[in-house]
Amino acid sequence: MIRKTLFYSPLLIIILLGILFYYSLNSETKSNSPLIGKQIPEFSIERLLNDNDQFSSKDLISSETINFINVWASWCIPCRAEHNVLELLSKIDNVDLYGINHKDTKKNATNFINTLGNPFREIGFDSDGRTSIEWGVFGVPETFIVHRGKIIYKHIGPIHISELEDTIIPIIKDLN
Amino acid sequence: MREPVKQRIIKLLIGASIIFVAVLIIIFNLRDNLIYFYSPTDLVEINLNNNQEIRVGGLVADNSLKYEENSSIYRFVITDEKNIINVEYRGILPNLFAENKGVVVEGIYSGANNIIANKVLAKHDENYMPPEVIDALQKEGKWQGE
Amino acid sequence: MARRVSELLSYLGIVSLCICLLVSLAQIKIFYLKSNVNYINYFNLSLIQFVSCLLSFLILIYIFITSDFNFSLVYQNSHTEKPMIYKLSGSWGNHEGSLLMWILILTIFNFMFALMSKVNIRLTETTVGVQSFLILGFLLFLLFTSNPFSLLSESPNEGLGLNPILQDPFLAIHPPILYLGYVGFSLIFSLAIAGLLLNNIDKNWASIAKKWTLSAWVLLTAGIGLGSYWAYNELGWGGYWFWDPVENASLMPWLAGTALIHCVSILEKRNTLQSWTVLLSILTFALSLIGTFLVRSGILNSVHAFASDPSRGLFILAFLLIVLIASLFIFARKGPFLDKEIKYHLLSRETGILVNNWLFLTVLFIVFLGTVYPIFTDIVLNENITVGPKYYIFSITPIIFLFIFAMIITPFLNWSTNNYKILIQKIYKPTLLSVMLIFSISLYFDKLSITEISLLILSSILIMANLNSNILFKNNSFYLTSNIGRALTHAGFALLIISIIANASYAKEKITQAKVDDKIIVGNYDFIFSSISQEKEKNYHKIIANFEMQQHSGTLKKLSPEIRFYNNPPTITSETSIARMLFRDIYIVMNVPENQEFINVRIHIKPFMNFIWVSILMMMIGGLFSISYRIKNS
Repeated sequence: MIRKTLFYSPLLIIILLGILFYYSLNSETKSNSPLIGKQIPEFSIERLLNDNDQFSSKDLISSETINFINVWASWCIPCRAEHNVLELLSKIDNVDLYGINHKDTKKNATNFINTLGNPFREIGFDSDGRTSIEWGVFGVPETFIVHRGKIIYKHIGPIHISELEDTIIPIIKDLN
Repeated sequence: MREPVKQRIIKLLIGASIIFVAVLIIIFNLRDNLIYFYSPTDLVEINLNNNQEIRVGGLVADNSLKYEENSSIYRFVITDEKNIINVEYRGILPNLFAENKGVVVEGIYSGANNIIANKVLAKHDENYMPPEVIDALQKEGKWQGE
Repeated sequence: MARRVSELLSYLGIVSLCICLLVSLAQIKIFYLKSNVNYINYFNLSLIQFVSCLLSFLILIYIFITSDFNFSLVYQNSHTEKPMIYKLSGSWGNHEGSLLMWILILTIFNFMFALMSKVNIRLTETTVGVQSFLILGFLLFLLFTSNPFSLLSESPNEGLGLNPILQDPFLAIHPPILYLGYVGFSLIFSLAIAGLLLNNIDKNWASIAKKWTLSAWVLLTAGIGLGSYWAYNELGWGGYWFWDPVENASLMPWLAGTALIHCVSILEKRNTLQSWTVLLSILTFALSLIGTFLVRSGILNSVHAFASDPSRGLFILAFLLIVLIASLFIFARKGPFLDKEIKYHLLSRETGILVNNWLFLTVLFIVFLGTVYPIFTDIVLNENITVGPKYYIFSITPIIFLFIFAMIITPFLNWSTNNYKILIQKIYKPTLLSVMLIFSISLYFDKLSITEISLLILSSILIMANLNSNILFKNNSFYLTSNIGRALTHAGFALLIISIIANASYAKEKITQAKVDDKIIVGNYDFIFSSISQEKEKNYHKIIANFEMQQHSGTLKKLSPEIRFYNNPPTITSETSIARMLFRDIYIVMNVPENQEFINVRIHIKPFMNFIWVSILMMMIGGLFSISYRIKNS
């Protein structure tokens, strides 16, 4: 009897391990930012393509649409990979995509936009990365969803087309 | 074929006690050799014993890297944008090491916010940070949020 | 036009994978129907599985070498400026490609097994069925989460994959070999499950299993050895094993697999320990899967960072759990009725091998605990920790003693009966000789501790006893006994321990800064920093520091470590320069601090490095000897 029960112990161990791994997998996926649900940080930076005016937090707070803020750089390879997804994103109704160009040169950044296309409504030029730090950016690319001046969601790393469909679009639907 | 019950029980007990002792030794050994990871803010908040081996992660602060030529020691500051810790390191900095970039150092905590590093890891590429650093900065973010 | 070709290739690749999928389904059906299908049937099916997978893998390689950027995988991982060899290796250097390669290897083993095991058809057929179940699972994973043949909507002119860190000959060959080892154990797993289902775990089963276990073991050993060799050459830290989680992930199946080899021997010779052997077979493959899962899902923090994707991790986890829970459930139901108990003396070879098995499991437990505990604390206690290498060293060293001790005596023990007289006869000479040898050596070298001296003595006995009794000298010529494979592997292991101790005790290291014409003294060697130069290569430029290594004012070797600056993407890498001599390696790494007139150098003198690689090679060659002996005699 004891012997037979003993033969079930490997099964038990593997199930316990499975539970452990499952939770560790989930704890990796949640990209919880302390800023979620908070008001966006105040900032005001120059525009990349247009010297007249500043791009600032007021532009986002006053907006009625769903705002996406994508932090990118021309030297960042994942950003390049993400670019066609951003093009798709910018075409969704009631969505405005803004960019923050992170630690870049104007020349390279403009070049990047000219070759790959510009899905952004406005691009802030954040050459020293100060504004990104206030947003709590760890690395590029990162994307924030902002609605009425509040941060709703944060995505770390390039947005994959499947993530756009599975995660981002449901959030947009919810907000609408 | 079967051995007497008594003999089986004795064998089982001996086996079990050997396993028990072995596991105990291994676990104590594990506890002694754990290296905890802290952010600079953690180090301010908790009281850490000197001479403990720890890991610290964060960003290398701007303009903090100094090199002492006669002792060939590097000094730099790791920050999580709230608190800092001073690092002393004798050795070769990794190629990806740079100011304003993520870094993890492993070494001996020598009190007064100093760590004498024996390893400096900058194992991320240009775009991503080591997961520990993200963790450290996130923790810091929480702290700020309150 | 080119677009059409790409579409066609993509279509072809997916279709051939689907064929493989359907055939795998058919194979599983065979095994459920329990019909008496003849040999040809499942053999042909396994051939189709293999060929269809091979075809889609060849297509993958083709699109990589032709740089067909219509494919999103090629676009993300390749570049026209890449040298051909890296275009080739790029095809399996990414998640999708490596998964396809994994499946290909599964089908190769499946096919080879069907080809070579014609004796017990029922068993072969069922094994192929279980193996096809694994193939099916991975194929579904590939097709649904990571299609390697997906096309981009428009075709870019240039790809993104020019990461210099991934341009490394090692990364081209290491994964395939490691996979061969891992997947080799999948076959033992399938064989064990088939044996369980048919209640057919006996001597014959063991003699089939032994060959395949040995093959997988040799491949996995090669994989681990290569990994270590790469870390030594490329990471620039002068070490060859870091107890990094990713390294541990490959060590764990190796430990379980080595225990399995020994256990299968008992089963083959004495027809006992059935359930234990089956459990070890499952465990070995489980550890291969868990290792892959941990590495690929990004749960582990490692110096070897992999791009991770949680949804994929979830799929691997789900698959892993289905396979393991199902197999362990079958084991729990059928296992208790397999065992045949036999009697043996306490001082017999059975006991020796059992002790060895327990020791292997203890080491496995140590490594497993050290690897998984940080994951546990991260979730449960929310503490971020790493386990220091000292944990492994302190925990494993005492076990190594017992290991070598058991390895010395066990081969000279008889099966089932006690014959300590022969044992003493065989080992007293090697023992005396080793004690004298090591003591005289340790008088000369003063640094050795008692632990090290005793380990050295034991290792030396092990080498001598093995070679002495398995290489015979009769009538003016040499004879190898049939146990030469085992002897070589065991001697290789002893040599490894000796080399590790010598390497750790007599390594010298110096970190310093240097200007041109400076002289650095390390140990008995002088290093003259003779010049610094700069060169431009195709996609990077490099700074080279030239050192002359001198002893007694005569130049022995020239060493030239490099720093490489890649422009696209901007990356800096250090290239070590290593002078390999018989008894020691000289290892130089450098780095150039900004705005300084000097460079930083680190010079290591690492004794016995070559012996470490040679001992690993010896273990593998021993394994190959055993395999060839078995094939000859079957």
